[in-house]
Amino acid sequence: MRNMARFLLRRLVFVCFLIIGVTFLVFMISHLVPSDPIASNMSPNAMSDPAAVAAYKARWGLDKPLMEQYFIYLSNLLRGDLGTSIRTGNPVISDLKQFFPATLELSIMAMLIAVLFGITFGIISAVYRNKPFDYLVRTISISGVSIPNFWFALVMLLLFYSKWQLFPGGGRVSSRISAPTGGTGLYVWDALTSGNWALLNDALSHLILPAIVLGFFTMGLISRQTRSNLLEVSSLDYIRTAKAKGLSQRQIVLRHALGNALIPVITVMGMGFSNLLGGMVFVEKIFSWPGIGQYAYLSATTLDFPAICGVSLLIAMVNVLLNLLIDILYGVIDPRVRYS
Amino acid sequence: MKKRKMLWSVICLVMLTLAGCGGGGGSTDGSNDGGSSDGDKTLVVGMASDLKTLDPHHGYEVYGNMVYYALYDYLYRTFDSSTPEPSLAESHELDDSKKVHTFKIKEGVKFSSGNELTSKDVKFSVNRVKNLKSNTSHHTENVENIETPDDYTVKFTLKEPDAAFLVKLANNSFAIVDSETVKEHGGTDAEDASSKDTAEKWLNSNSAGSGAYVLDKWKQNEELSLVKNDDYWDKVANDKVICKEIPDVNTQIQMLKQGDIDIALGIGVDNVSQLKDQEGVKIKNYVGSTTTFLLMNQDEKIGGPMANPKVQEAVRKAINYEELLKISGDQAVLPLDIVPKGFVGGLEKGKDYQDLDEAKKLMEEAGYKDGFDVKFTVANFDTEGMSWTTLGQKIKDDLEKIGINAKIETSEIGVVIDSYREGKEAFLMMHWHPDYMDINNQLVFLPGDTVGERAKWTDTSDTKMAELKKTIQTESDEEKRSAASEELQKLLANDMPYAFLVQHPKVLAYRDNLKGVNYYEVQKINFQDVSIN
Amino acid sequence: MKRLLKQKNFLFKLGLVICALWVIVAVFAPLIVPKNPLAQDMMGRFLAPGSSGHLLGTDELGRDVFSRVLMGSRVSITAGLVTVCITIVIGTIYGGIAGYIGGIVDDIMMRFAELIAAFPPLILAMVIAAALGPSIFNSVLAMTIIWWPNYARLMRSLVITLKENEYIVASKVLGASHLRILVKEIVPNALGSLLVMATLDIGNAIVTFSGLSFLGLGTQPPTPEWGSMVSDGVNNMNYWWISTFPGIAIFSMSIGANFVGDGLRDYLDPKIKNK
Repeated sequence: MRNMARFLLRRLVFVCFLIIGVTFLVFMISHLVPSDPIASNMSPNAMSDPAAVAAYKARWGLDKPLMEQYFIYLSNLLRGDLGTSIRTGNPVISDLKQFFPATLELSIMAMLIAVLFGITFGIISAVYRNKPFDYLVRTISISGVSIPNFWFALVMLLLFYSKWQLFPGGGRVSSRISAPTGGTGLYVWDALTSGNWALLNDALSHLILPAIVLGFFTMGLISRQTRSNLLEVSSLDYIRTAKAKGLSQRQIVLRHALGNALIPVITVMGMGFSNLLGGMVFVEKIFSWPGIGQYAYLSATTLDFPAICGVSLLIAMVNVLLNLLIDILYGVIDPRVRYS
Repeated sequence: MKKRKMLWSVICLVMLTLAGCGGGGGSTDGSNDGGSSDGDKTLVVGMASDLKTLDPHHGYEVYGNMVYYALYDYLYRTFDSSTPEPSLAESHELDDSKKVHTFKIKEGVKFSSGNELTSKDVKFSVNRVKNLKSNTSHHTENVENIETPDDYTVKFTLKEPDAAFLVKLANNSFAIVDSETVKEHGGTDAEDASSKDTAEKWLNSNSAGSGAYVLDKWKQNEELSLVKNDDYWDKVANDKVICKEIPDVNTQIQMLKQGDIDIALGIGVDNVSQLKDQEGVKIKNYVGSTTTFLLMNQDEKIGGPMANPKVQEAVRKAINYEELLKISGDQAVLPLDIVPKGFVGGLEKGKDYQDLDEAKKLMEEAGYKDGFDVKFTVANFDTEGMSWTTLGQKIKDDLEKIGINAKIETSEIGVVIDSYREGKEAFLMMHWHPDYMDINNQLVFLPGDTVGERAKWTDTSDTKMAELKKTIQTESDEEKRSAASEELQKLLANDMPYAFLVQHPKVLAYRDNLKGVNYYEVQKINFQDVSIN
Repeated sequence: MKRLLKQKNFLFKLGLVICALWVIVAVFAPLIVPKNPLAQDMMGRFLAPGSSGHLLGTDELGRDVFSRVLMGSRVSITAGLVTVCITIVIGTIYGGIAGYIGGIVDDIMMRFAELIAAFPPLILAMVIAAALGPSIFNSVLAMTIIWWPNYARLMRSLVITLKENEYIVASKVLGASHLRILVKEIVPNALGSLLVMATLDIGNAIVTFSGLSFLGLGTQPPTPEWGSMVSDGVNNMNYWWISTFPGIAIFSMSIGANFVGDGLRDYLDPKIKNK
């Protein structure tokens, strides 16, 4: 137990340090911006008014030395104030609040698909090793890991929406249904909890295609990792004993090997999720999904540095926290890790 | 064994559910065609807008007036691109000094709050814009003072005579808001409005207007919904309008094909081909008013060889306008220079304007027989669906023939605009979308004026030009104005730091069960006219 | 056919062939393109594949898609290779030093590396490339910045395991210098794993670079490159060939690299080897 506590503490301390480091890094990078944000965000009329320009500069601390600007930013951060987006004119925090649920919903679904199919495929592949099914699954998995996801999204949209009309096109809900407000912002959850089956059906159907595209890479990753872990474990002594005892390959894999093999897969999920957050940018763009990925892209390309800081921070934190969770999970399951 | 069976059944169940949802979603989507399930006439529009604010006194975006026209009333409105029509104004008088405009406004017009629209609301609105110093305030600069002799009369006194005043009234800087309601929510028209006014936030979720619609909901970058104003003084042909943000053009096309949206606003000349011969869809091209042009910096330190007037003329002569026209689609126009077709006195180029020999000769005379390299800034943008990178590559190709090696550098539009406004660009592609439909707005290209400054064209000593400018700005006689306009264009044609490329058509694609659909430069679609069958 | 497929290293060989083919194409592109990849033809825009000498059709400016795909391999593959090479060098030196010295230096160094790795790769790359200005150089720079921590971590863990290795300890006892140990014992052992990671990464690097170009941050027009070509075709999906073929190119190169990497890993991994 003491080891567990120490382990947790070490990880938490590290995470705090990481978050601070992230804010610093993000702040520094976004100030690499060579152009002047004033001219692109103030009206020509206002720019000729020195008082308005001075007020604008003061608001952003643009005339203070860089380090001081950073500390101003940090102190605001602790108070929950992420500044105001130059592009949208809204406080960054409310922008993020608006767009985050969409991305959360999409990533949860994508991870679900990735994990479910990934592990299943990995198991099938290992059990039916070197049979045609194995080759099929391995091809799919390796495609998942290799395919450029922006292209994959386009192709899927083209086929499943334009050509075969099996799935609806972009957006979170059909164009004739007004977007629901309030609730958690997670349409599927809100629909479930309020018993709105029509909305549930609609939101789910819009969610599937982008989720599949987004989760494809992670699915491939998990599938491959599961397969190789299973095979690796299968060559271990206790498995050989089982084999000697006369158990079939199937029984060995499922009853004895699976448990141990799945552990390292958890770490792969962490990496997969990280990749998911990146792939988000393309998928959201192509599927008109109003989420953080689109926001990040628009902020980055318009050099909207408060928004860039805000969104990078959010994404990095989500990534860090998730990996922390996975580390803890791993530590709980595998005692060896705790003692390292 | 058991475990495996369980695993399989779980998987199958999940897959079935997913497939079921997907299939179900697909079929319900295809069955709609104008109007939602409960019988309401709802118009659904797909767009990729730049909407930043629903406060008409702050708005400066291309899609702004589409919303403001629907929510608020104006003294005048533009439909056809050149003539403003009286809307709220019942009568108009101009005095001999040409500086005092007196209007009588309609009686009995009610705001959505129940308050009656009177002259004090007009005065409040215009003063608010003036004192807000917002992106749209410069349109009201010329207004010296406003008087309200009675509840239904408004008197504007201008600083200088302005031939385009009526057209300006049709711009959102003159939208009339409910002064009582706006004041209640932090609005003010006092001199310190730029720091004290806080009504914008409220106006982003509520409308304080007397227009055909009332704002129902606005989720920036997602959707906007408007509901019919039952007390509106004119006809409204539908009950509800939903504008969905669909940044991906292909998605718009697909949704239009399947009837998920009734009108697609984001379609451009290049992808409209996907909809030709499509059942249930109508396509119409309209002459637009947005022109794309090349800017060549007059300041030698910035523009380098591009500052040389001979080089500038060579560039103008080198471009293959016939091919430009071809790629720009049906209803594209080649304006001679600053005045687009449809504006007073607008002249066009002949398709055979290009003269490669002349261009090469000019290059030689300028001392660049062997050509030169230059950075060519082309933003990642498109004008009415026409991609700038496509145009840019075409121009680059044309210029190569006379020895100019234009190195294309792309960037996001916001970044380029910032640099362009500071006059830092040597050679760039830009567009001009008129704020209001009058030639006065196009005079910004002249030396010393807005765009002129950006090209570092500061020499205002040409008296002829100044004279023509003044005539155009203040002359109320159409014929005299037109003559002055033509003369000015001819004066500029071979002597300016610009090369005007093309005046882009607007493509509108919509379901054929709609009536009353027309495209207008200012408000895009006049929602109240559109009926669904 | 069945027997061919069943061959254990069939995929490895296939991957090798694909990669080799693309590399040859990239090297000899200017000589083998049937048409000038930059030649515009306003009369022949959007021609379908197979029409009048254009094997894969033409794009929005009438340029031959086939030639552009061939030529595009140069930028895409070079960018990917350069990124991986630089990141290997930086990463291994960094990780090697951290692992070898150990202790607090190791802690600090690795924390910094993990800081960078905390960002989802694309987001950071996007921000850097946008801030520095879109260009091939800046995109490659952005990618190297986000990628080197992976190699640093790998190298470090390799070094740490190897440090405890009996041979190393013995060498130390016998008086061998640090440098000698590094070069003679550690590097050769690490090489295998590094090579595997590198080959698997090349595909990823090419995909990421084309992704950045797709967003407008990498290659500038009119240079042909797979990612920006896919983006060119996005607004013209009914002329599907403009986006599809460059996409297939990226896909094939990536999958080829993955096959090779997989094969290498299987070969070098003693556990599977002994099965």
